Amino acid sequence: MDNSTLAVKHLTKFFGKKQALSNITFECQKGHIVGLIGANGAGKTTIMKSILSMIKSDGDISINGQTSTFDNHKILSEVGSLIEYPGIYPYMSGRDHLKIFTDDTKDKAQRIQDIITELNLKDYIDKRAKGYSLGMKQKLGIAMALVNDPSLVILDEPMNGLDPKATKDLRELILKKKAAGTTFLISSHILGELQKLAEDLIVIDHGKVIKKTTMASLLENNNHYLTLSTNNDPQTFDILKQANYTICSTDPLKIILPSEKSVENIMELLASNNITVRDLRHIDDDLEDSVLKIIAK
Amino acid sequence: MLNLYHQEMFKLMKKRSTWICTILLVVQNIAFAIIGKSYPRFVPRQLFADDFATISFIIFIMIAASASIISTEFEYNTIKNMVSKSYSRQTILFSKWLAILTYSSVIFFFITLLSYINKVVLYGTDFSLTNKLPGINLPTWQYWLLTVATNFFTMWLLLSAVFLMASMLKKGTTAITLGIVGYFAISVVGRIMFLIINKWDFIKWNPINLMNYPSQLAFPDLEKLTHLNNTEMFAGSAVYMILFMGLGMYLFSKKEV
Repeated sequence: MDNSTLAVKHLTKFFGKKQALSNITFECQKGHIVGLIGANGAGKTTIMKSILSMIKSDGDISINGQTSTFDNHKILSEVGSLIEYPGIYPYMSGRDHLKIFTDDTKDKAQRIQDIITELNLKDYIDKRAKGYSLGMKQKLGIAMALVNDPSLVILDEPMNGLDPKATKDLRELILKKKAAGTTFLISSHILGELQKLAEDLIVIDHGKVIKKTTMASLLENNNHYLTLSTNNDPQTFDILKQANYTICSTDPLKIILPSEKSVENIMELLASNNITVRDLRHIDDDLEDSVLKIIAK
Repeated sequence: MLNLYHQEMFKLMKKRSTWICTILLVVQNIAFAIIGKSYPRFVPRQLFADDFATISFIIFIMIAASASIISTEFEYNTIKNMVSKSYSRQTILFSKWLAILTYSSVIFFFITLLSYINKVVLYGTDFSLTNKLPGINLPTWQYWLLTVATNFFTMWLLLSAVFLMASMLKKGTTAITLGIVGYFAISVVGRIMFLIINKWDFIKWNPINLMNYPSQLAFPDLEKLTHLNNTEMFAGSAVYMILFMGLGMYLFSKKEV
């Protein structure tokens, strides 16, 4: 049985003669958080806009098994989204926005109250949005995307303008919704934040998918480093070089720790040469390093 | 569809300008009624039959409301919230038309009612609604209601053009300008237009000529200049309305955001 909430096949988009997307194909599995990564202008927002019928494109888009097109997209009732910056009516309060964008169900008032509490909006939700800061608007936009408990949520740079506390609140809320079965497609330049959320990754460059992977397997292939401080760094450098370790820098002394060797091997080697280790630290490549390597290839 | 219509009405009600404009219309209507009473040279019966000149102000407000109900969605980026839901673009635009139709109907009805109240309260038996106005072969009450109805109809010819412009462009100012220019077009180009119509008969079908409909109902002799009878005026206006709104709908349905 197909377990994908979102399936994008052969998505292609031209702006005039310029090709913005080329044969984009990927899936988002139910209950997964999928990170969409790429440089500025890579095509992330264009993909999201195509899925949301904001722009016309060629290719097939299927949400919960139903085809969605530019002209016929009833299935988008099951999708919540925030693209670029939030659309806010300055003359209405935050609560008014939630009222008009929340589906008319028996628990409408409760769902509005829940999202206000979860995103900590209560201090300003009844004030006119004209006076909201960028972060307040962003939180309201996210609340509008989530208030109907959609099965798929598409967020374009959701951390924009959020302070550390709000970022943490949002991260926790996304993880809670994911645990309840919501699927997320998130693009973010803050890769450290995405690393804490996404399980699956799609890397886009120049309108093409250049890598589809999981966060775990991407990080597994990353380099692990050791930085060392000894009583004789120059001699340590020579010893490690002779032992075929890759030296990345000399100040501080930083080497790549090969997967087949352990710290114990290094400590024994240095001890046998009368080197005293004063400090030792592990450093791992993060998502940013991995992505930069993929894009550079 | 109903949900979208409710959303549009909710947004209209939440705009301060909706209430401020309504209050201004009420103040203007009462003020003109008082002026008409104090200075009878304004011909109170004629003033009353024109809803104390409030109709012109309603038309300006409706031009602005029609342009902004579309353009502000682009200016505030809220159009993305709408098109990324299950609603088609056609349904979105249709709900906006319905909202403005409701708004304009309510305002016309309210101002007409207020004019009647002003007549009863301020003028009492100064003039009778069953008497004919000078130069017009209709009882005052009939002329009054006919003026309101035909102005409402002609206003929608103008609004359909404003909707078309607002659907084509993302900025509301151009659509508002077109609407206001269109409103004054008759008085500006009227005489030249009648000369051209005399020379080339088919020019009579231009929308500016059709805006003479309310005047022609009151002054049937105008038909000699417009070259159109009242039925043709009505049908021509209706065809233009359908054409403008259909074209606006088509353009809006293709719009990328």
